[in-house]
Amino acid sequence: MFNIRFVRQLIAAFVGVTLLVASVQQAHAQGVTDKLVKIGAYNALTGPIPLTGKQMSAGWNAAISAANDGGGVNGRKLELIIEDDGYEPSRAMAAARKLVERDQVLVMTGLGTPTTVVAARYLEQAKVPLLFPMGASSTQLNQAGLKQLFMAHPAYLTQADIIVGWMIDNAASKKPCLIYQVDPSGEDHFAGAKKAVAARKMELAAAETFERGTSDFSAQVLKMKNAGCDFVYTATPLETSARVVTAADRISFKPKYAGFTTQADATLIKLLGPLAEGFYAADMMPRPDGDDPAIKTYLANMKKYSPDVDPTFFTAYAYSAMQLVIEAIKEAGPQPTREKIIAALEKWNPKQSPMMGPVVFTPNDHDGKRSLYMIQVKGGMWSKASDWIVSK
Amino acid sequence: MNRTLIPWIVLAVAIALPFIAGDYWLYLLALAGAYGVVSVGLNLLTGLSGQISLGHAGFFAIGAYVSTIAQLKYNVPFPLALVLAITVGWLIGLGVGFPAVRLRGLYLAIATMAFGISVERGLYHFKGITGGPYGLSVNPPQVMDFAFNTPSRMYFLVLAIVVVTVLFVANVIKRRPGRMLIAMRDSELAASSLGVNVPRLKVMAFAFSASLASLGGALYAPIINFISVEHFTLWLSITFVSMIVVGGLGSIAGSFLGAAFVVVLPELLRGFGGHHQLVYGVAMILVFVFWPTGLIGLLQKSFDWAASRLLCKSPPAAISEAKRL
Amino acid sequence: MDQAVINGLAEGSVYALLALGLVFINRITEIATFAHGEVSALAAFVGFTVFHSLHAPFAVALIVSIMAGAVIGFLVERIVVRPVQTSGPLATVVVTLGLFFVIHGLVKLIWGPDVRPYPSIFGEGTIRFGETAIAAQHLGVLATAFVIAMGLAAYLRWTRTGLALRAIPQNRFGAALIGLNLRRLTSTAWIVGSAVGAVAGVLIAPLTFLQPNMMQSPIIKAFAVAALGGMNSLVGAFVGGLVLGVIENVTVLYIPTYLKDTIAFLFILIVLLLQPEGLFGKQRKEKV
Repeated sequence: MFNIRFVRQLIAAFVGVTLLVASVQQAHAQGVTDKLVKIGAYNALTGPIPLTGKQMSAGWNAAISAANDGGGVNGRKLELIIEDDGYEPSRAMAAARKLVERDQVLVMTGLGTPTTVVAARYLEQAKVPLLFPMGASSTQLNQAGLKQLFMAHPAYLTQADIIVGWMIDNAASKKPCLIYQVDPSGEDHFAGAKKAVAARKMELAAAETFERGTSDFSAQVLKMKNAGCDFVYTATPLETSARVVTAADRISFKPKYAGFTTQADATLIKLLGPLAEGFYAADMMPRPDGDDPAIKTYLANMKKYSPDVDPTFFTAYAYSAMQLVIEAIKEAGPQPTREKIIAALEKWNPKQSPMMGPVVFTPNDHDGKRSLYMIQVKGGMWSKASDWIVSK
Repeated sequence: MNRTLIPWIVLAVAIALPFIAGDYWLYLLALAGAYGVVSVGLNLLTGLSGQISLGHAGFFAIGAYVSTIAQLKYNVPFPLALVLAITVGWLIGLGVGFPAVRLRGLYLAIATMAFGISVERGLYHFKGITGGPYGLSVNPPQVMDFAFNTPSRMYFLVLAIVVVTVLFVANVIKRRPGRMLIAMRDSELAASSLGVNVPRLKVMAFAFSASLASLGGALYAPIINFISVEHFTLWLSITFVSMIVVGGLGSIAGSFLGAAFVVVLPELLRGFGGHHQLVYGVAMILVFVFWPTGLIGLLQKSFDWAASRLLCKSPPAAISEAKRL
Repeated sequence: MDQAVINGLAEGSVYALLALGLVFINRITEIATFAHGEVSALAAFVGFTVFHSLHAPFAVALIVSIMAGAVIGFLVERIVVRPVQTSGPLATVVVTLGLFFVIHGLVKLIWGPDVRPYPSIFGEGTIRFGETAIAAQHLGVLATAFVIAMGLAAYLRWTRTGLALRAIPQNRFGAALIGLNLRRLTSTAWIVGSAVGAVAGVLIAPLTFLQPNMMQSPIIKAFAVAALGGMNSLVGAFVGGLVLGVIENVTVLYIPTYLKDTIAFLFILIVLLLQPEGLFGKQRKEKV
């Protein structure tokens, strides 16, 4: 027998929970109001690459704050909402859903490769533009023909192709090798390197791998030494390149080195000291120690809005990418909508970005940045080693 | 009285949810459901048969890949793909269980950790089939002509499978195998002296738990729409363990509570920076120190307390404790 | 090939050093602490703050690190482990796992995600023997691991406290009966084990750079090595670490490098299957 009073209490509780859940749903706000434009971002603030996440946030925030201080966009202020996904794809999906469905952001950006792949598929379905996320391998995304995704970071495959090719052509490398991380970006570097050597009727003398989190590269450099490599493409994070070079030096293995965009950074010189001499890298933006006014403004804004984060490749990329996002919103006019933003972007043929040089988007091709130039460490500083190289 | 009503109430709420909750919550709940299935399996292994596994992400991955590849490359219909995932999980669970029987405690933990890591590397190594780091796109499951391609449909699919799983496992626990498992947990020596074939039971527990983990993986794949090597790490295995601990060892409802805890907590903590790890850790410790019965125990105690207040009667404490299993 | 062996000894000594504290604690208290790596990392971070912010000389920072390790070990035992000591092995696994999350989260909270270089006591040099080379640091780690392993073994064998410590796992009740202060001795085990962990942290940090995630890979290998050597054997941990390092580095000459970890674990699995108590472990009698 059950007590009728008890049943009533239960029903009351059920109704209460329902109302609670329903009320929580009311936490909506428009992505574009009279005063505000909302931008969402998924970022890896916890997990395996929290430092990168921190740098991305710093760059994005500096660009947004600078724009707001300058009056915003078409009379509206910008609000950036960053959600942590811990570099886990399932949480990236949750973050993207929350930003789109609950915060109703106008556009999205983000960090990471596995995370971007998952988020991009969802955002494609939800018809929300995903603009210039950092990372992401070309094979998965650029060839998927996604309408909502726009890339401004040269695909890893493209980078590897350019860099390895250049080193063979200009630095007299006869036995090119690479070392890469076992993940989608690494795979892409590998594919690009293979493409470059195949086009020159050569072969990679060695292709070494490692897991994220490895700190001991003695085994890899030993194998590369045994294979007789004269050039190693370090398709690795910056700290890892430093360790590879140190480990190689220890066994008297001294090949030429070239890294991709993330290594075009003063930190490399700081970590390696004299061992950094001669290291090549590809850069996609003008050097921070140059005279470029855009760079000077960027550095000043970083100091002003994110003073506790040193400028690195990631902060520079995040800042300039966010500048492009803001520009796209501006071009979408006084009543920006997602479709108008996409339409504006697809007319960027080319668009001169203050920090990234020319960026090109057409309705059929959203892979916006395919040009790099080589730099080399000379006398303890990075200096230009080539002109802009554009990949086909 | 109250006890038998609860599952029905929970089910009613669960069915009503999609009509009031948004896609975001439905996504989270579906994910929690998939994890919950794994959790129940792990709970059977650890909570009931006392064997620890730090490699369940491996079985989870196997289920996800087997069902996805079957559907993608061999056009196997979804329900059959699920069955395939469960079967393969079972077989590999047997394979892992046999040698695992010889090990206990930390050694077992290391061995299962090794298994999980080997699966992860294997997925990378055999990139031809698994797509390696590029992963595989997963299409929405289809039964006949009905496609589960919205979050609410996916949610109902997961709910249905969860209900079936719960009924099945509850049944197993009630019957002889379950009783034997519990006896074995309490004292292997005593159980075997009573005629329980301890090693065989342990292997069975492993296989069963592995098949459930594979089922969870097969559900996970369509929820995320995409799977790749990066999803199935040691970290995930450790997360599974934290689910059963926080939720309640040895309890089916606890397994799902733990899964929900792990999935929902980081979302609720979004305002506080990424410190959900700290909270997990504190929860795991507090649970064992103060509430060894986990969240489910906590819930039951508060339920008893609330019921006694409402009914102005004191609850029969002895019965609620005994019925926990 | 020789270089590969040297590389193996170098890498293995790191595993061994981290495993020693773990094995010591397990030997006395029968608890395998999953939080050991994080405790070591925390001690290294504390040392870093002393060195960097207080501008103390590095030797002082080192001593502070070790003391910090000892204190943390004491607190861990007191606050987290003692309440669940009698709740069975699963309880301690879970609680130390929880502690792993807590300490990791704390380190991240206090010091942030930045990656910082860490000074090395043994300098940055390289020592060469003919064709092969080893980093001075690695040689230092190897020597330290050896000294600590021998030192702890001697401590357990020949001092009164050591004797008392050894008595505990053999027969808790009997030990209490003859007047041994179980609480104090258990505390001591954790303090010593964690202090050893702190040494490991300080010596490993220069190799991995100081960052919250620094111990996540090493601790897994350390556990595997501990199991390989027999969870209760200090010598086993030392030898096991070196053996594993060499096996990994030599086999990897012939197979793709990303399989390095898999080889390591397969090797351990095989050993455990043949010898469930590890290479040097003692047969455990199950008490009825």
